[in-house]
Amino acid sequence: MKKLLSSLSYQSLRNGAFYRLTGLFIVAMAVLGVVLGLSSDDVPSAGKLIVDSPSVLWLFQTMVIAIIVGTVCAGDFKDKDLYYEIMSGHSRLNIFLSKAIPATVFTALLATLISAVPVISNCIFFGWGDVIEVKGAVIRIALCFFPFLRLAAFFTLIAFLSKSRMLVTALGYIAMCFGVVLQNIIGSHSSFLLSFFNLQDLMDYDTWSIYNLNPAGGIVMHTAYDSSISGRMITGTIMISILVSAVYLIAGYGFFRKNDLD
Amino acid sequence: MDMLMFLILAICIFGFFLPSIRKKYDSSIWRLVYVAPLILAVLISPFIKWNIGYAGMYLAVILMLLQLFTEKQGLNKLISGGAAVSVMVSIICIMVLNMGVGGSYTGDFEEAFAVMKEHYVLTEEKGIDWDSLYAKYHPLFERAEREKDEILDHKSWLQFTQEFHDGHVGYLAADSQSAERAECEIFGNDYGLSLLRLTSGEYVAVNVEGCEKSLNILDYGKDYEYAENYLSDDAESDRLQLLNAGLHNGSVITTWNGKSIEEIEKEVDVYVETFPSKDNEEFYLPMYAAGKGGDSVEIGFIDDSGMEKTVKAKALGAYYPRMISTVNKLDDGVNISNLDFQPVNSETAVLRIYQMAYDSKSYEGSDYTAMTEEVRQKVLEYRDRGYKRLIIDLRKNGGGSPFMVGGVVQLFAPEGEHLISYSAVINEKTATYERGADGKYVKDQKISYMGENLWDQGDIIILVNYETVSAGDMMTYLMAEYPNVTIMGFTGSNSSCQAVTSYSTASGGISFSAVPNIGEDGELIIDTRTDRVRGVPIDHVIPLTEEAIDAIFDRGEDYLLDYAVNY
Repeated sequence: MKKLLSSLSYQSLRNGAFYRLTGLFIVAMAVLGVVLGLSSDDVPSAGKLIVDSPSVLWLFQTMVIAIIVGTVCAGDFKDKDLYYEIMSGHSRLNIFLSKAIPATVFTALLATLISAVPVISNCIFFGWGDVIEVKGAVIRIALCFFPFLRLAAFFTLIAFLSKSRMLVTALGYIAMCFGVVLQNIIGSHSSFLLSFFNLQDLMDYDTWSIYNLNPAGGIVMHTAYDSSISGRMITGTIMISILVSAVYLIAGYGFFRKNDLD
Repeated sequence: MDMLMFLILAICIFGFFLPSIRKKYDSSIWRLVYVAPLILAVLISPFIKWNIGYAGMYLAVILMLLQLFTEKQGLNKLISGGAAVSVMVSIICIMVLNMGVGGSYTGDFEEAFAVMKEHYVLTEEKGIDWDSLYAKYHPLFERAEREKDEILDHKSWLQFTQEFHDGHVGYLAADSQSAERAECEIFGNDYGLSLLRLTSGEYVAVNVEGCEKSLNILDYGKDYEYAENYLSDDAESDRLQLLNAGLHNGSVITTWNGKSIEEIEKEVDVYVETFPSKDNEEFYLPMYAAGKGGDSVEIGFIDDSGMEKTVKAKALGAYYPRMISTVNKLDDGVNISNLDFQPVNSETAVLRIYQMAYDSKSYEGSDYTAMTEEVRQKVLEYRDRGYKRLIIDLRKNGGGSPFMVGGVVQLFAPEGEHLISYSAVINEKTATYERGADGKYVKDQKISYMGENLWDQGDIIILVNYETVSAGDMMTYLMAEYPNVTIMGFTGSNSSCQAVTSYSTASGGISFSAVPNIGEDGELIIDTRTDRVRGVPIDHVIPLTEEAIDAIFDRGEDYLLDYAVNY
C-alpha cells in the first residue's frame, strides 16, 4: 500500500499535464474573479461576487475533479499499469485504496482551494466590501470540501465501473454544463443528498430585500444578506457527505474486487 | 421518478434470479446489476425531497451493494429478495399512501412565520403577539400535515392571516385548483341564497337562485368549473326551491335552522379576505353566515303577504361561488378603462380608477408627468363644458403606486404643498426600518405634491368599498382633506396602506405590510390599530335599503353610482 502510494505520488508529481491543468484552472478562476468584478453593475467587491455568482465557486470544479479522478483511477486500466500492480502481488483492496483515497481527498481539497481563488483575486482588486461577513463566507467555502469529496467519490465509482478516463471526464463536463440548468428546472430543495444541491445551499445566503419610496428615483431596493450558517447545515453537509462518499467508495471497491480485467 | 423506482424494483427482482443466470455465463459484468440501483437512486435524488417513505429505496440500494461482497447464491437471493420487498414498501408509501406528495405544511408555516415576525412593520401598532399566534396556529398546521388535510392547511392560513386585520396580509396557495377546492369546502353549502343586513337591521335574501339577475348554478361551467363537482345530484331539480316557496331577493329572513341570524354569524370563523376595520367586517358577515348548515336548512322568512313562513332548503352545492358573486354585485365599479372619464348626465361625470398603475415604465419610478397631463386635459375639458360634479370611482381599487396617486390628486388638491407620506430610515445591515426612542419609525424622505385646484367650481364624490385598498386607500385618505370632497359607499375603504411585500414557500405565498408610510406626526398612516377603527374617513355611509337590494340584485343597476349622482 505504502509503495503504491509512493508510486502514485511519484507519477503525479512528475506529471507535467497535472501541473498545467491545475495551474490553468487557478489562473482562469483568478481572472474570472476580476472580470466578474469589472462587469458588475454595482460597486464590485468579493462579498458581492459571492452572493451574485455563487455557481462560480463550485461549478467549474466539477470538471477538475472529473479529470483528475478519471486520470488517477481509470488511467491505469488503459496503460495496463494496474495489471502489473496486481501481478506484483498487491491486493486489490490496497490498489483500490491507493488510488481512490488520494484521488477523492486531494481533488476535494484542490477544488475547495480553487473555489477560493476568484474570491481572493476579486478581493485583491476590489476589496471585501460590506455585503457579507468574511467569517461566514470562509466557513461556507471550507465546507465545500465535503460535497466535493462526495462528488469525487462518485466519479471514483464511475471510474472503476467504466474503466474509462474519457467517460468520467465526459460525465464531469455534462455535470458542469447541466448542473445549474438542473437546479433551475428543479429548484432548490435544501436537500443534501446530491452534492450539487449541497454546494448551492452552502453558497446560497439568506436574503431580505426591502424598499423605500424616493421622490426622485421611485422604488429604491436594499438587500441584506445573512452570512451565518446553521448548525444543521454544517452537520448535515459533513455527515451526509462522509456517509455517501463511503457508500460510493465501498460500491466501487465491491465492484473492483472481483471484476474481470481485460 | 416513479418509473425509476419501478426500475430499481425490477433490478432487485432480477438480482434474485441473477445467481442462477451467472452460472451459465462466466462474466463479472453481472456485478453491475448490484451497483445499478445506486446509480438510479442518484438520478432520482435531485427530484425528490427527503421523506421517510424513500427509506426503503435507499435500504434496497445498500442491500444490493452488499452482494458485491458475497458469492453465496442463497444469501444473494435472500438479500435481493429483501431489497425488492424494501423497494416495494417505498413504492407503497410514496404512491399509495402519498407520503412523498406535497410539502411540509408545518415547515412552510414555520418558514413564513419567521420571516413575517422579523419584517412585519405593524407589529407594535396592531399589538401582534407572535408567541400566542404561533402557539395557536402551529398545532393546526401540524394536524393538517399529520392528516394530510389540505383543506385544514388552507383554512389555517386564511385564519392566521386574518388575525392581523391587515388587508395586505394574505395567503395565496401555489396550486390554484386546490385552493379553489379548499374554498368550496371551507365556506359551506349553497342553499340558493346569500344574506345581507339592511341598515334598518333586518336580514334579507339576495342573489337568490332562480331570480333573473342572480347567479345560476346551471352556468357554473362558464365561470366556476371547479364548483361544478360540488353540485348535488338533485341540484337542477331543487334549484327553484326558494322561489317556489315565495322567497326571493329582498325577502326578510328571520331564522336559520331555528336560530337567529346573529347566532349563525357567531359560527363564522374564517373569511375569504381580511377586514381591518370592524364595521366593514360586520357589513359582510351575514354573507358568510348563509353557508352554514348541513344537507339542508330550515329558513324562516316573511313572504309577500307579510306572513312568516319556513322553507326547507336543500344544499345545492358549494356556497363559495354564490358568495363571491354576491361580493362582486355589491363591489364592482363602473366598467370602463382605468383613468377613463364618462359623462353620467349634463352636470356629472365619472372618473374610473381601479388600479394605481399607468404603464410599466412609470410603475417602478416616480415620474407620472405624462399621466398627470393626460388626466389634466380631461379634467379641464369637463370643467370647461360646465360639469359641476365629478365622481371618482375607486371601488375595487386594488392599489399600486403612491406616486401615481400623487399625480392624480395634485389636480384636485387646494393650491400649495401637500404631504403624501414620509419613507422610513432603513438599517441596511438588517434590511429593517429604524424605530426611534419613542417607538415610532424614523422619518426619511418626504414625498409630497403641489395642488392645482382644477375642480374648484364643483364638488367631488369618491366612491369606495372595502376592496379599495393600499394606494386606493391612500388616495381616499389624501382627498378626504379637500373641502369639496365627499367620500361615500356602503362601507369605508379597506384601511391598509403600508407598502407590501411577499414571501413564497413550497405550498404558497404570503403577502404582508413591509414598508412603512409615515405621516407628519411620525405615526403610520391609515392602517387600523388594535381598536380596528378605520384610518380613512367615510363622510357618508350609503344606507343599504330594500330599494338598494332591488336595484342591485333584481335590476342589475349601479345603485351606488346613481346614489352619488343624486346626492
